[in-house]
Amino acid sequence: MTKRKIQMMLSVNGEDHDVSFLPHRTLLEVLREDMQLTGTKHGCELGECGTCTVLVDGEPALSCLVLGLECAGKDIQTVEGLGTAGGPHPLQKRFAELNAAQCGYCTPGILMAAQSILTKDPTPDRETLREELAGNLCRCTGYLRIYEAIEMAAEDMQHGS
Amino acid sequence: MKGFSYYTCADLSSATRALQELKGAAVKAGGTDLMDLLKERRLEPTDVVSLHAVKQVAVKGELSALATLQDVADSAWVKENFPAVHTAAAEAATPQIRNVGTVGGNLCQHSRCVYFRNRNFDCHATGGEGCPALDENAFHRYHAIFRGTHCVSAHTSNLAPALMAVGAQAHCLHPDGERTLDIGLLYDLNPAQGKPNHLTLRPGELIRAVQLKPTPLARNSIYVEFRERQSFDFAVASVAAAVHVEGGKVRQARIVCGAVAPIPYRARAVEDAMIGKALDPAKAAAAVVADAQPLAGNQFKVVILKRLVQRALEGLKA
Repeated sequence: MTKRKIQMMLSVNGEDHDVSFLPHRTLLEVLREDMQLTGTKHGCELGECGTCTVLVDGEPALSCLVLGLECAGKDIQTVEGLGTAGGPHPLQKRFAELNAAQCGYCTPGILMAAQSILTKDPTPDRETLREELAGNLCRCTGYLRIYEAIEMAAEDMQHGS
Repeated sequence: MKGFSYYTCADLSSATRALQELKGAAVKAGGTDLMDLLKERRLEPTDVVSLHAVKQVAVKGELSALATLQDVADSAWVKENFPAVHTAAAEAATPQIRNVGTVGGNLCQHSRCVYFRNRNFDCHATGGEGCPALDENAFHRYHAIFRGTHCVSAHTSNLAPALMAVGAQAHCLHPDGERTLDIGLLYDLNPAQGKPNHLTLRPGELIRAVQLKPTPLARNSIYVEFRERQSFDFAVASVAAAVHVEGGKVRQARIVCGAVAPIPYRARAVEDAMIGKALDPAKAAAAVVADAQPLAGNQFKVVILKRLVQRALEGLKA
């Protein structure tokens, strides 16, 4: 039995990339190991922590449980597409200011989940945030500052700052 | 994870034929259960047949087996006519899992038994003898309180008890045609040795859709579960219940319990005893757990289940 690499185009952060990998590679492995996009973190690998969250066609998904080859034709957004060091996204700015990233390992996944929440609901209440972030664990347990940072970023985005 | 050959199918008929030809192939829908089993190397199929490219997303009249849990949670039709199914889908796992996990996958998920999931253990389901969970020093906390002959794992599907409570049926497609069966008949308490799941589906057979009929019973249905965490956790025990009451008397009743037996546990004798009488949640709850056979480490589940049954029935219109 041959298990050949497949070759395909993957759209990540609005850019098409020509990538080649084995069929059993997860999106997480393709992003981190084949495309060197290491912002997305590798946590439990079993869908139990949420740190590998990326957006697939705008919806949060666990990149550790998705096969890379099943992402052909889909729009993948990772934390690398959110902002730059010189021009951080309001979420990143507020996370930094409030020290909402403690060890930082859950942060990329939470930023992506938060971005998806704000796209659908620009002024989410605390209960909505709690429910929608239920799939992202922070073991520093800094949830309060995370909620506050997202709420402040939501306000920034409302006022265009 | 071990490598595999990947097959993609444009429709379910070609998937059933591919599964029949590729003996021992794993079928993949959302993959939230399968990917874990592949990574833990509990399943090591040579071939994976993916339903990823199959376009089938109806959520009215019937639920496509490939509808995601989020599709079900978002359906106003389901919420109005089948409240138990709505709650079961909306409270399952997390947004990330609900966006990917499917109705069919939820019904066909493998046991969460910690011994089954660990490839260093053997049991009836993996082709071995005995059950590591029956050892007196085993970790019993999340196991069954209603046992199978060979297995004491707990079936943790949210949807299965809810769908059974509202009288749903599964349309199952196989290479020679289609058959329709009650959701409860998808499960076998005592499968053959070496069968890694408790499903009655034949080789090559797939659930195509779940048929839902709005009835007075289904509209008066409820799903409740107990978790150790507020979210992102499997239920320690769950109950889906539905009653149709007319003139103060129960005409029809369903009580289906999740996470307490190797398959969804329907309390048929209790349902029958409720007919023709006024709804008595406490009495029914006591009757449901009367036959429980807990293990040394999970006697607390009997108390939790009893309270859940009572709470569920108290939440219904009597």
